[in-house]
Amino acid sequence: MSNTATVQLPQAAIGAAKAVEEDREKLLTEEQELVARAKGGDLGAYDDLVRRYQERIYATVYHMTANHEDANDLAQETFLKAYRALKSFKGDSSFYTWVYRIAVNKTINFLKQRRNRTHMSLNDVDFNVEHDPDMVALVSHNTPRRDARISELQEKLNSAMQKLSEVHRMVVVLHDVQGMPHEEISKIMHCNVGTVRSRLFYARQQLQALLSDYLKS
Amino acid sequence: MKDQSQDFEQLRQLLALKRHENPPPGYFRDFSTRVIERIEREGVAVDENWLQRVISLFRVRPAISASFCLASLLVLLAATTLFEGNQSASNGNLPTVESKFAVVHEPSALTKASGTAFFTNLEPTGFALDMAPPKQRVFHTNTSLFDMPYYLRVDYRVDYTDYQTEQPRQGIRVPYRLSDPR
Repeated sequence: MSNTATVQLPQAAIGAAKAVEEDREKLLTEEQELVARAKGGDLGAYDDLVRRYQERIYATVYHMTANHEDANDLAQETFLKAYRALKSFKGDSSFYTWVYRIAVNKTINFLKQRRNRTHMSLNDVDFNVEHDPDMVALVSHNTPRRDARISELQEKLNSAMQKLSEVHRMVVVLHDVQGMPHEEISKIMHCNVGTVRSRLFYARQQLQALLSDYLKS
Repeated sequence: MKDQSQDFEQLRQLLALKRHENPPPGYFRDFSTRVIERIEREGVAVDENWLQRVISLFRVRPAISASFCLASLLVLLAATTLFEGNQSASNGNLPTVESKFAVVHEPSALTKASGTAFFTNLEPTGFALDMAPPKQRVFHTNTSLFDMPYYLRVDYRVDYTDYQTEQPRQGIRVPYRLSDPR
C-alpha cells in the first residue's frame, strides 16, 4: 500500500509540473504575440503588457526608493522607455526580464543621483499582514518587536534597507521580498549567480546588524 | 552557521512586511491608462529613426544639446570662411587687365532690351530701373586682387543712347565696394 503511494505521488507531482510548464508556455506565447503587435504600434497590446507587469515593476521600484511618488514616476518611465525601445527587443530573454532590466537600471541611476537626499513616503500596510504566516511567526516571539507597532517596524525596516548600497538592496528586494530565483536575478542584473548569492549574503548580514533589536531571539 | 541561518530566517520574516506595503486602493486600475496616455501625448514612437533619437537625447540632456549647437556654429563659421576664401582665390584667377575699367564691346542680349541694366563682374542681376533710354551698350567692371587684397571692389559704368538725340552717351563710373570677406 505504501509502495503504491510512493509511486503515485511523483506522478501527481510530474503532472502538476507539466501543467505549470504548459501554462508558462502559453503565457510566453501570448506575450510574444502581444510584443509583436505592440511593435507594430498597437497600443492596446502594449496596454495588456503593462497590465501584466505593472504591479511587480512598481513594487520593485517602490521597495528600492521607499517613496510612492518616485516609484510612480519611475514605473511609468520604465514602461515609456520600454515602448520606445521595443524595436530593439530581440526576444533573447522574456519581455518580463527585459522590462525588469530597464526598471532596475532606471532605479539604480535615479538613486545614485538622489544619494543623500532620501525622503521616505511609505505606503500603508494592508490588513492582510495580520494573517501572514511570516508576520505571525515574527510577532509571536517574546521579543521587543512584539511591542513594536507595525508602522514602527515598517519605518525601521525601510530605513535599514536605505542604508544598503543600491545593488545590495536590489538583490534583497528581488529575492527576499519578491521571491525571485537567483538565476532570474542574475539575468536582470547582468551578473553571475555567484555574485547574486554573495551580494545577498552580505546584504542580509548588514540588515541583520541594523535590525538587531527586532531580531533577537 | 545554524544560528546565522536562523537569524536570516527571522530577517526573511521581517522582510515579509514589505510585501504588505501597497499603494492607495485603485492605483493600478488606471496605471496602464496613464502610461498609454503619456505615450500618445508625448508622441513616443516604437520605430524611431536616428534623427528622432537624437532629438530625444537633446531633450533629455541639455548639455549635449548646447555642445551640439556650439559645434554646429563653429562648423558653419569655418565653412563660411573657407567658402569666401575660395571665392576670393577664384576671382584672383580671372584674367587681370591693366585698366580698371575695361570696356566690354559686345553687348549681350540683355543690353538690347529696354530699360537700364546694371552689370558688374558678377552675374547680372536684372533690370533695376524702368528708365527711358531704350539702348545701352557697354558696361564693364574689373577687380584687381593686388589692389584690393582684403575686400572686393566692383566698379561699373553704364553707357547709353540718348533717348531724344539717339547719340551714344557715356555713363558715370560708380565704384562699389563689397563687404570685407573677413
